[in-house]
Amino acid sequence: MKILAASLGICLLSIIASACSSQAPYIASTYQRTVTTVVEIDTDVPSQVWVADRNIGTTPISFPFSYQEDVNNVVRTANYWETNPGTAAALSVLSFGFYVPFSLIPAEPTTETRPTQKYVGNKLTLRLIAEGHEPLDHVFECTGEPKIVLRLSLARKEREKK
Amino acid sequence: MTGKTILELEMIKKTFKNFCLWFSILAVAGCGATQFASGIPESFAIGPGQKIELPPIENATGKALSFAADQVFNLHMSKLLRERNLESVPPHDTATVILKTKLIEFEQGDAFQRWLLPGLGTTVCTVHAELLDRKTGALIGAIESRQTVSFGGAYSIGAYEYICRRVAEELIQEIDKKLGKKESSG
Repeated sequence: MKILAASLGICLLSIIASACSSQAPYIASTYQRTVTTVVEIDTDVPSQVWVADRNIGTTPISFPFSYQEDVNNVVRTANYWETNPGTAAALSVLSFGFYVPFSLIPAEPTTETRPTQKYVGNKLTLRLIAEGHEPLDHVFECTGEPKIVLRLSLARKEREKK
Repeated sequence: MTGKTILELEMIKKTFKNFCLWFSILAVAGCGATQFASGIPESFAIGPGQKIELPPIENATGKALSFAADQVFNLHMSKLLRERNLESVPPHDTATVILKTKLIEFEQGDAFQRWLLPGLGTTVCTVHAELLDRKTGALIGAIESRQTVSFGGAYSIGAYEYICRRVAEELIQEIDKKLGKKESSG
């Protein structure tokens, strides 16, 4: 009984000590994930919407725009108390505390993904064309918004004004 | 010896037996963990006749792979889709969805190190998968699966291979949930 009680005591101490024994996190890799923003365009006059030399329809229109966001894969080496506390406690008790000093060695990699808010291919160039109106070029950048609503107005052609 | 000492000895014996049994099971079977996150909306469903295009997995680990984990994943994922009659073949006319996958973490690990110290020589495989609408390229949802084998002895040799298949199986389980939902809800 005394041995078991001592083992449990050591377990508790090791849990407290574990907080100090893990390594500092570092960026192991960076990958890109897809982000989609729904772009809703409305104009004062019905206009054709062109994206990258492709007519996608007439306003009012709504379409998805996809681009990439850099995500960091952050790795930290942790000890077994942090990754598998149940197994570590069981091993410590069953080994009568022999495992405890070894259990504090940070050995197992743990990861966390952190979006960087750095976007790639997020610039959208629109061209709006309406009869009797000057073509309108509109450039904007999406930064992870679920939806962007654009209310645009096209200028009448000089001839038409007269 | 007093009765108390005998009792203590008996207890130690019992504990030791339990430890040996428990340790043997773990050493044989290997012990790992799973982390899984799914962001596929409830409303999404794969209807009958719809197929999934599976481009080859991209190695985004930032290093050369010590084992062809990407190929193991590709082959197994492809097999799982074929079994469900979901695999799209070029020119992918019937495909409505693209399953884009990225291997973001892979550690081959070492069974001997795992036997020496749990956590050391851990085998890790993490895949980030995205379901994209094939027509618009819009993101439908993302799934992330991380599998580890951190404890075990000789029988965890080759974990680096079956762990890639496990990740593929976990992803397909999530896709399975979306099969035939249109018929049942309609």
